[in-house]
Amino acid sequence: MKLLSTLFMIFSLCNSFAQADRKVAITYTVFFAEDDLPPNVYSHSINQKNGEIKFKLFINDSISFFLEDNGLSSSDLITKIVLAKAKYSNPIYCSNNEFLFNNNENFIFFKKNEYLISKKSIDNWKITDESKIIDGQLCYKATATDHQYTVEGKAAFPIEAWFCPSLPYNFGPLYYNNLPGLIMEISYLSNKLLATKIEYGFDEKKIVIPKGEKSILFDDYNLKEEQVLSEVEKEYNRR
Amino acid sequence: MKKFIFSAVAMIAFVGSSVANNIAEVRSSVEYSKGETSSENQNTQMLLRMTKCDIIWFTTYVNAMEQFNNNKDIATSIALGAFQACVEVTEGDGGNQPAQPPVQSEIKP
Repeated sequence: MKLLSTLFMIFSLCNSFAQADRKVAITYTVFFAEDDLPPNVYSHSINQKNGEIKFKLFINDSISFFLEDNGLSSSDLITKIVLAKAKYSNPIYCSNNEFLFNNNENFIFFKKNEYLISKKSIDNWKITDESKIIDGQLCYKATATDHQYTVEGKAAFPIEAWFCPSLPYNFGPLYYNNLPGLIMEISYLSNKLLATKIEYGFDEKKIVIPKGEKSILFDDYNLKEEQVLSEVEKEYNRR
Repeated sequence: MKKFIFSAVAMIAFVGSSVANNIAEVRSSVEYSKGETSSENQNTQMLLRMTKCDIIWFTTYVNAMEQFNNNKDIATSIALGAFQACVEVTEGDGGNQPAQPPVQSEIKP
């Protein structure tokens, strides 16, 4: 309780002094456990990308926008595999603790931008008193659970985040925010996203609100995708 | 002579009705494929809608799921690569065409 109060105080103080720096761009680099995937024809190439794939998180006051930042190599199959492994498919816009993003084009049975998917922030963070220095900033550890859809259905997975109260932005990479400080490092499903660069100020045009033909909740979208995949499989087996 | 004419007429009538039945079956199968409501028809719709490249996507997806411990995200990513490669090839051959409808011999009486 004492720790929480202290963190809140630090966060509020830094927040009040940082009004001029409300636009910030953070570069995250992807790292992953190399023995996480079974050996196959792609393994060597995927492992070579460890520590090379990058994301950018743009924060403008109460809005964030997260997207991959790999230039020409974004269209490279191995880059796409690493991005997919990190649970990224499309740019993610966040406002009022709601994440908005389009349906994954990898699933070809829906049209491009057919769906605008909405996912709520997780709210089960547990802040610990463990701390470490990341890029010269004192950061604290927080843990939570999120969920994904697998062949077995909805499955929870643990998340470990390190946030820095001295960086008063309650945002982070991918679908993770809502901590009293910028998330500098996050680990989930054998992936780690580590903040490797922070820049102040950027062109606001970099933040793009995604649009889709139909709005849908994250859980409903996954059920829909499962349904269509099941129909495709049925028809394939009938041939 | 009369017997011959009678037999010929009977045979023509018999063959004619068989042909008419077959045409009706083919027409009804085509009618189904045009979108009348039945679960069979919806399945035919899906079958007709699935192109050669859609099937490539699906088979690649299934194989990739096996290779990557049922990781759907990775599997769909690899499947898309195969799909796009297929589309590029088929565009050179006249386009990514829908799968062919079942041939007449496959139609159950």
